[in-house]
Amino acid sequence: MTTQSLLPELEIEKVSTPAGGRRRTRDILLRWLKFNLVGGIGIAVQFAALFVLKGIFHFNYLAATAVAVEAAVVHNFVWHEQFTWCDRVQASWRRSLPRFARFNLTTGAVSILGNLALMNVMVGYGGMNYLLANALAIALCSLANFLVSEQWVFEETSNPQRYHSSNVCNRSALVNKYEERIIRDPQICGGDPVFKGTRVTLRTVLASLAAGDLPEAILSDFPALRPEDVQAAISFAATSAAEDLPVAPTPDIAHQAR
Amino acid sequence: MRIKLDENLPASLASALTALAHEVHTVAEEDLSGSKDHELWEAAQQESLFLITPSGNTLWHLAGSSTFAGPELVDSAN
Repeated sequence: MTTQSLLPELEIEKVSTPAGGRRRTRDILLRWLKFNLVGGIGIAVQFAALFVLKGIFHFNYLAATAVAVEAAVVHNFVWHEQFTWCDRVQASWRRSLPRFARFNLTTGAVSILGNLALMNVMVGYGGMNYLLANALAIALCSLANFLVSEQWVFEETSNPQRYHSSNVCNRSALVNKYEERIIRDPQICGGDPVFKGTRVTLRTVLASLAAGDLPEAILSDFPALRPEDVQAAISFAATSAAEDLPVAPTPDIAHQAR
Repeated sequence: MRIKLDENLPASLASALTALAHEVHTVAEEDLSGSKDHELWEAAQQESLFLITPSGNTLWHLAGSSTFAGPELVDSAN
């Protein structure tokens, strides 16, 4: 086995190929569509909440509006976490609460300040029709909210203990299985992904499987491994192949000359 | 030869080396399962054992640390 790892090569392929760039554009567009879908349903939630609170329970209209807006914000946040950015973030109280605070703060600030500023420019200075200007302002603020959420609110978690494959939602049992068993610690095997509680690398097990070793043989060769570790290695491989099927590396001239 | 085998090498290698009359110490026997790179290195140093690891990243990590000195770094891949 060479010291050059298999996995970093695959990751480089993912990032550097033109197909990778197109994929990234496609991913962002898809996310933008999901974002707007959630936002659209959020508007319906806000109307419904307003109607129930004001029309049925006779709340004060301002109090009802405030609660309805917050209900829409909560609705949007939950769906963004579970749907729009589900491949990036995992919902847990410890992480979701600060994330929700960021989301609430930024969407509120962007919507109010952005609308005021844009209306001021387009209507006040540009002399544009106020309804057209507001439609434009809403579209621009939605884009700004998306970018802020993309860059800050739902930024990728940098938890060094878990080894993530990109672009795959973490909800399936398979994925959870490998994330529980495979860790990365810069102090162990120089940061190579290893199975928890061992110095056996993910790469070793994948290479053994690829060479045709049966799980029983792998377990007897590496007694520190548990049966679920072999399963975790397979789950990792399956997850890696689920969306971003890596392009097989092409042989370079140096290899052929040897 | 007196050898410490990293945990990332198969048990069958340990028995093969033992059969060739080498003194083989494994990570599992010495309760070093899942240990950090420098712990493994220090354990090997204390017993004056050759450390054999297939993990290039382990070597580079150790080579960059202050406790690792001398020309013993042998990279078989090159």
